[in-house]
Amino acid sequence: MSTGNPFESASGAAREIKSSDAFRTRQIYNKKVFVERVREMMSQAPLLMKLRFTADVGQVLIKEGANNNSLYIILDGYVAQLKNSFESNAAIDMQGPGDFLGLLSFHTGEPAFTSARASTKVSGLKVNHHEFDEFNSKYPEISKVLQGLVFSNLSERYRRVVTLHIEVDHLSRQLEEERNQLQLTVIELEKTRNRLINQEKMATLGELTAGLAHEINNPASALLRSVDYLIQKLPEMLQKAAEQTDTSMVRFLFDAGTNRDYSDHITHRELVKKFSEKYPHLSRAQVRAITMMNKETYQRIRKYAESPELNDVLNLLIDSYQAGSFMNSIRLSTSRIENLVKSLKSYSRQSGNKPEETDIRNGIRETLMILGNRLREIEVSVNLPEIPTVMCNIGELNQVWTNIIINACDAMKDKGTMEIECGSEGENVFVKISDNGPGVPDNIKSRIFDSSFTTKTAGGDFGLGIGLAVSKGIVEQHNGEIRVGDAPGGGAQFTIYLPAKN
Amino acid sequence: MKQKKSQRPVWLKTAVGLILGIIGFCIPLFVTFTGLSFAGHITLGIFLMAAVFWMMEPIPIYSTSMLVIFLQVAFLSSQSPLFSEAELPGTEIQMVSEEIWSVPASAIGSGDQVFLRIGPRSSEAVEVEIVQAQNDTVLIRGNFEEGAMIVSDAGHRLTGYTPVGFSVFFGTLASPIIILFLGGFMLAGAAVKYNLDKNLTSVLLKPFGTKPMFIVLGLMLVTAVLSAFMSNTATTAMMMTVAIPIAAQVAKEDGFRIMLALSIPIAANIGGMATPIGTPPNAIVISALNAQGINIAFGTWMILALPLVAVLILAAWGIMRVFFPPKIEKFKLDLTSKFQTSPKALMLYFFFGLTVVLWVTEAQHGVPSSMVAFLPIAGLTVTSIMEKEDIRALPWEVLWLVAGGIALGISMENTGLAVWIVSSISWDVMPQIVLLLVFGLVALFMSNFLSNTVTATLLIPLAVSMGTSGIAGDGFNLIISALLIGMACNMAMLLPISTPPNAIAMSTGFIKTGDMIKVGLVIGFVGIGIALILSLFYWPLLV
Amino acid sequence: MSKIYILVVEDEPEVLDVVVRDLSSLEETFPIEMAVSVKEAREIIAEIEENGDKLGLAVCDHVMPGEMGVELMIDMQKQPFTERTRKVLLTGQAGLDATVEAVNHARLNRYIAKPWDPEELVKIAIDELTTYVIEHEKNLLPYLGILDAERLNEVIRSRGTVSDH
Repeated sequence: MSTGNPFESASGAAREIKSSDAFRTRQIYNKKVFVERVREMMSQAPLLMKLRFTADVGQVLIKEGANNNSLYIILDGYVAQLKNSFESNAAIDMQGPGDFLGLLSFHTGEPAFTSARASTKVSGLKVNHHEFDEFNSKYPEISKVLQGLVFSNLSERYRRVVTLHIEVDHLSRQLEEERNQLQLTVIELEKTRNRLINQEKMATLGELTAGLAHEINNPASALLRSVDYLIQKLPEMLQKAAEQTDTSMVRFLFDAGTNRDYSDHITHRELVKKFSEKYPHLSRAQVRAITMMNKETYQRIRKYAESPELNDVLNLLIDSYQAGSFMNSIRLSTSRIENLVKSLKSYSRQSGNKPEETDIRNGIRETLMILGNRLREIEVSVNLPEIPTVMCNIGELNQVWTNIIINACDAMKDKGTMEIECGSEGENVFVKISDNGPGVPDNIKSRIFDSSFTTKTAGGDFGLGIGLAVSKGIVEQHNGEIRVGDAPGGGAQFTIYLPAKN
Repeated sequence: MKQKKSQRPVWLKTAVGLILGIIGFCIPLFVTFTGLSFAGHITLGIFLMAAVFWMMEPIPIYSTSMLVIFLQVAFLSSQSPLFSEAELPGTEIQMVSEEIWSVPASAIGSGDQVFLRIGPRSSEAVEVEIVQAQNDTVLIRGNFEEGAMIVSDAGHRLTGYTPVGFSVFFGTLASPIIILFLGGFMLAGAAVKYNLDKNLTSVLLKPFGTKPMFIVLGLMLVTAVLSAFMSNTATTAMMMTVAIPIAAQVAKEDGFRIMLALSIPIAANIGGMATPIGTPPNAIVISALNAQGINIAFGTWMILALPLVAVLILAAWGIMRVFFPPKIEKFKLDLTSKFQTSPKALMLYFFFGLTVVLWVTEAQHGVPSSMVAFLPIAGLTVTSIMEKEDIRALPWEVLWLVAGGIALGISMENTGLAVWIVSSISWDVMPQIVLLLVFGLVALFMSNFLSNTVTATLLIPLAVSMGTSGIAGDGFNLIISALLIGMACNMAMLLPISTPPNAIAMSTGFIKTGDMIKVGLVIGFVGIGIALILSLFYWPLLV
Repeated sequence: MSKIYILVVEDEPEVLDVVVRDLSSLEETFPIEMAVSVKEAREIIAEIEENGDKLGLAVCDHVMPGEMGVELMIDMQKQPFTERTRKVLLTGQAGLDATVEAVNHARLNRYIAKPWDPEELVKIAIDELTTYVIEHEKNLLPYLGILDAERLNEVIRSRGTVSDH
């Protein structure tokens, strides 16, 4: 075997172990010994000296497909065997000292199967048919060695072909296996990704629920407690009212209560103070109730407040005012809950997988309503002019708005201003969501939509920080595009483009 | 909705009280009362001011007591600027003929008196008959020794009053009865600290079963027993922590609820009469009698008071049963007692038991109860059962209140003020029983609106002086009248403001003022009645 | 005598109304002040302090526009005037974070979830005010009828704050 053969790889080592047994019995055909012999003979035989050739680096000795009339015996240097069919004319083998070149084409007269090109400076013997015969007859002992060498060379080549076959087969099987493995991994990855996205969705949902709890619990408390109060107070009130000769005042105060507007508490406090001093016979609860009334109501109840004898009537009037105001509270609370439930229903509408023609502004409005709790400390300016409709899955797009708004809230630490506007641009409609948070540094703008990218610390917050990646996926599914830039105020600005319907 | 009461501002009440008090103090400085010594005028000023301050409370009642002592030291002690340099001007009485003497006109005091000059700072009034008045000498008829010195200026500030050292006024804070109280305070403080009171209550209540009426009786008896040795207020507060959880489980309209809340202050007030250390008025009675050289032993007091206490408790129980019949049939008391067993707690039980036994058996061994009182005072501090903070937390102001009362009583007596006040009415026309009834009713009425101690402070010196001066006639018994007034002061339980226990019970909101008045009225009159019966038929056997 | 106030901070007027309504049984003894924002609450606190009165109890919503309830409570904890004020958080939603913060930094005494049980709310208010008056008031008698009489009596007994006279 040639030394320094570039093909000597890991699999080559295995091959050598297999072929070494065959060579051990023919030590005489050792290439090194053969080269030394030939050099020795060359110094004695002028004929051999005549056959000597040298080739420079890059010189082509045999050309693939051409007839070859010479047999080359390499004594020094290396020659690359090239095959055209291989990619970029790659070297398929390398021949070194003691090797033969053009052995097959020389003997069979067929066109050369491969090209041979000097990789280094090469020297050796070049023999044509005539000289080969002459060589044979004049140096029979060398010729004998030569023939042995030729056979050994041929058989080695044969063996190598066979091993290569085996090797190729082995490799391709390995490749196949690895490819299968890879396919499994890809499937697994896809599953994981979906799971992560789902988790992100659930996390958003979690946050929404927490916020919604507050949004619903507030009116629910007011509702519950108002009803409690009415249940407790109404029978007594009705009875007392029935004892009155003139119930018009009771009626008037009840109505005033239902139309109550909530006063400014600072001025209310001053009123309470003034009142307590003016009418010391009134209880605190009475003063508080009276000072909450508007001017007209107060003017009419005044005479009852002024005289301690009319205190019972005053209590009845205050009670009926409060009953009215609790009625009002019940109405307001109920409609708030109703609105909330409505938007929640429409917000989470999945509408199957079929896109439908939608005014995306509704989705944005619902999202803002649902996220109201999170946006309490944020000044949100909304500018949503008329835009063309979009074919989309509104539930999914709501997820996009939610993700971007929550992302902005996180970045602003829930304090600051946010601007949401929409418009149309050629074939597209766009939605711009800007905040005045710290913004997105340029060096991470390109990575911000990667699912592996997050600035959130583990476990510190809702969500996994892949909201933007999810959003990008959703937008792209709608044949749209999502971009991040700088808002005029210095924060981040996300722009979502979606193709308008027609 | 509750009606807010329109109240005059607090500062107005304070201002009116202060001004009236100061006016009261000034009246005797500008008006001269016949028959009252110079020092008597000063004492009258202090008395009027203290009475106004105690009644209207522009300043806390204990600070009025301190003010009283201060004014006495400043104006009435022998070291005061008014008396420190003064000496009685003297002149020898001149005999004109048998039993007729000639004296300077200035020596005749108002009410036809001359003053024998016993020493430079002391004199003695002698009533004389004026025979003939000349320009600057007067002839009088009387029994004098030849060459006797009389006071030449009857209007001198030292006539009719021998100034006492200021330490007499200070000393009231260390008078035996105050020390007796201090001993009681120490025991009660330690008992509270080691939860002895609560544990005793749990144990003592157990035998009273599950019937509401018996539970109430149990609560009353336990309260009375504890309040005989502890302050009525502390006892009430403690018993309320027992009664409130019970009341909370009883239906709102059930009379049992009212009984629970009402029985405790009533029993505490009544129980306070049982021992000398039960309430401060008892201290005023004992100290006033002490000043007359009459000593009432701890055990004797209890024997005198116990029938009254027992009858009143039962009467109150019966009255409440009529007014607030319980509806609930059975109530299971959930009481646990866990006596502490630390060495200090055991020591406390020992001191407590020993002191009470020694007090009750005073008549047998003869050691005065105030001496015995020093056993817990020293014992509980030596053993660190009572520490610095605990001693600080004792109701010292009560001691000051009583001390001020005692001090005022001393001056009322020795300036002749008390006698002067009572002598303006001829009491001897009234039978003794009527006298006692009047005293009892006045005491009962006053103490319902004033502090019981203050009432006793204002009334008892008068009663005592009636006895000592003989104004009220021979049948008047000093001890019985003082006792009766003292007891009457403790029977005030008409209103929430009458006593702190009433205030606590009222504040809990379980009872209405009307409920309290109903029971309070009956107890007051029944109490006075029983006390009168006792003072006619029972007390005279013992004193 | 200086008054002891209750302060209710809640941004939604209807809810504020019912909270005050529920607490109105305490109103005659403990005047109730209402604030719809943390800012207003601060003004009221300053005014109460100026008048020489006390703030015994603060019932505060957490989620409000502008500053959050917990921020107010932390702030109150830092001011000597409101440090001992009993603090109750009344909220429909607060993340665990907000609660932990409130407990740790604002010495939050109680946490009530919306919607609340009115009896529970009053009970908690009574409980907290009882603690407050025990810590701050010498004369406990005026509170016996409205607050926890059992606890107050126990204090009267052990401290001897009222004595015979």
